[in-house]
Amino acid sequence: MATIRPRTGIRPPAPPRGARPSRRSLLGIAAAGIALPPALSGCSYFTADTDPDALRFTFWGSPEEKDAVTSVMDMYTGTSGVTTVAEHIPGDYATKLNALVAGNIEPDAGYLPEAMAMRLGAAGRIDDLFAQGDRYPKLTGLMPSAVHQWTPGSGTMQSAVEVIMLYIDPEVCAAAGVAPPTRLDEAFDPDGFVAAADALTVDREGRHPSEAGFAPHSIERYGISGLSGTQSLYNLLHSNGCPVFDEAGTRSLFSTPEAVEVVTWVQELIHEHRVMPSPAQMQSVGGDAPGQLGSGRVAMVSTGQWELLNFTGTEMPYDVAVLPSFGQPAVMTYSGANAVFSSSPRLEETWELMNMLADPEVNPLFTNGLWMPVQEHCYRDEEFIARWTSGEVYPPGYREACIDATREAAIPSPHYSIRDYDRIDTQIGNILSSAWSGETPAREACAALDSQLEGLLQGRYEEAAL
Amino acid sequence: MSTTTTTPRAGAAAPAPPPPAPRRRRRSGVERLERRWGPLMIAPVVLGFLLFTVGPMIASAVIGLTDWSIGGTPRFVGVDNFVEILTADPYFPISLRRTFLYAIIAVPGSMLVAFGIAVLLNQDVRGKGVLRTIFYLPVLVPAVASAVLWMWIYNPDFGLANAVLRAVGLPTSLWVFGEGSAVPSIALMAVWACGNMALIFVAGLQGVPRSLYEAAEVDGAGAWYKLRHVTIPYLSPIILYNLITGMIAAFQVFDQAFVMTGGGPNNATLFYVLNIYYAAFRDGRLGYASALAWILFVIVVIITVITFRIAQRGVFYEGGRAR
Repeated sequence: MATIRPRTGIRPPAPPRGARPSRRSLLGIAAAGIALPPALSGCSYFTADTDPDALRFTFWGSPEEKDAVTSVMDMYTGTSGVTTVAEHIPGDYATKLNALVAGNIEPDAGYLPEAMAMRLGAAGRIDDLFAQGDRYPKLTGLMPSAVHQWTPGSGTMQSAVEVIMLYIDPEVCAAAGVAPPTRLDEAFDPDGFVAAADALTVDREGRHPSEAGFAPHSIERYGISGLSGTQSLYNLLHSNGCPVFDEAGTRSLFSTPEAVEVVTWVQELIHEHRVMPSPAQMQSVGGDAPGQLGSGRVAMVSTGQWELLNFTGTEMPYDVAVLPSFGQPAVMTYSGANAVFSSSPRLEETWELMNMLADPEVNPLFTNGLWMPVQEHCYRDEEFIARWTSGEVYPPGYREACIDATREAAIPSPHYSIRDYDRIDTQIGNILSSAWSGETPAREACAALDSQLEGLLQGRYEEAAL
Repeated sequence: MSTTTTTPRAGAAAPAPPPPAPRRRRRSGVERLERRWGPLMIAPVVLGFLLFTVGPMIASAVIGLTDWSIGGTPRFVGVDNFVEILTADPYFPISLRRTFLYAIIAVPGSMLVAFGIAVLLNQDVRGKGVLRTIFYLPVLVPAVASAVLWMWIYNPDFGLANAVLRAVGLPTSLWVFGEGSAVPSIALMAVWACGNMALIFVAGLQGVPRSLYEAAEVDGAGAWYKLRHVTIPYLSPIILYNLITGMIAAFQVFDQAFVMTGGGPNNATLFYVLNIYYAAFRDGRLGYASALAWILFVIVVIITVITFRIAQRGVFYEGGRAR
């Protein structure tokens, strides 16, 4: 029998190399072990990294707004001893807050977009402002347009009052012989406004749109910008007697002659009178109001009073005026809500913080131009108004165009009262954009709005008389 | 491995040979290493897939059967969400149509351009490494940055796109600001960012044997015939891969519409995933959004299977169809 044996000299097989981890493998595992905890630490942001006893407040806004809110929260911590965490979420706020609420890790309180505040309030997730009675002095005597109910007698409040007005370059206006009015009863009528905007609009050769040879593709300065935004548009619609939606909140009124007149007028400002840039042309005009006025590309900008803050520290001349009007005085008030979540384990402290944030004597946002107070007396108390408007950022026209106009003609925005308003608002902006681009005649866009909103409008939140 | 054999003695009856022992192949060191460490190494991917893909999918399937508004309590409603989507939601058919339109323009457009670029990049020219990097760069541009860039290019008044059209005497367009031109404009952006597809095509082209081209040349084939009868058949599995992955990506188009148009003008760019996003995070309807997402999943699966079935017939696999 011949047996084949392993040849001499050949070593028996070495023990499998994988039997014991090599140094390299161990190093790799160690590296992974070191890298993993920091990578996963983000997952515990709302549990381990945050003091569980701290009062958390989320908000959006500019760096200036962040500093102001943080300063008020620090002040509250100083007076109450309650630890607070200011969580600034500059972008995609609603998405992130929705995710927090869905995960049941919402903050104690925070800013809330209007429709979201009402939806969460109706679902019982927001603590009722009205149940607080008179316990918090700065949360009483509020402007009716700044208080909103999701069921009769239960609701929330806006963090501020904000209105739309015209920012103007007074030197350019004076040179063109235009004097934008600051009083509601003297507001430009539609024709007067077109004439003023025409006088302020020039091409590179200095010609106005109404003059022969005007070059619409070489416009050096537009007379007006921003009137096609829905916030400005709603003011115009109300001034023409169109409340945008019917009493029940189930039907759009865009097809009414009043609404068609307004939408047509705005479309003509862009495409017929050539005094206002289309949304596409706005790209070349610049971002905020100081940018548009400062670059000399626009003479009048229709936007929110909150942009005053952006003029801080600029050397440029500016003033404010009221929007043009179709006859009826109307100043729609906007602003997100300041809401307390009912899940907060420290409701009393959170409402105390709300009280402090709403105090115009304490919160610098009320005196640096960003916000207007929510308390009604602030619009009548001359001493307070003098203190309020004493800052350098407030131009001469502010008292009449903003404070007096709001006191006289404030109306609430539909953002709160119409159910699921966010989707309605998206559709309105979406459909009107084809009118502003000139693709669709205004009348057709209005008709399309009525038909497309029909299925979306689910009525208004019921309100009790206050 | 050693083997033992016996030689039958002379004159002795030969006993029946024992059945051969099963031959066991000795594994190489690398193979053993892979067997031991492989599962550990792929564990992060598998765990990640289970935790962050399969888990959420199962959760979303369950949520899709509920009426869950963020802030409220989920309530089981069976298939009500699906019924509402298919029968009463005016934005479901719109978003589906717009997404299909986008896919029909973007996928073939990207594939054609990527293939053309790949053929050019496969030539033996100086600096082809740099050229490949340049063509791949758009893939690396963050979605928002690319959206901002294209908004400038598409500006109807002073944008580059209309400037080019004016220069050659063609009519200008409203691009993303126009109802009819918005989807093709966004599809054009996808074509611009086809570097990934091009890179895969380049890799495929490099695997085509030179001998086939030489044989074709001997037979008198020109460039077109070589492309048609050698390159394209050889690349057909890669074309199928790019088609499938491109289509799946096209059905998930979101960033451009979210950043540039918000779904407008007049819902022209209300793509399906944007519609899901709006349902979930604008309207707070998690159950409804999950149902929408599942319908999209089913649509993509159906289209993928159909594409596979149809395209397989024309795909050439070097080792035969069994591969």
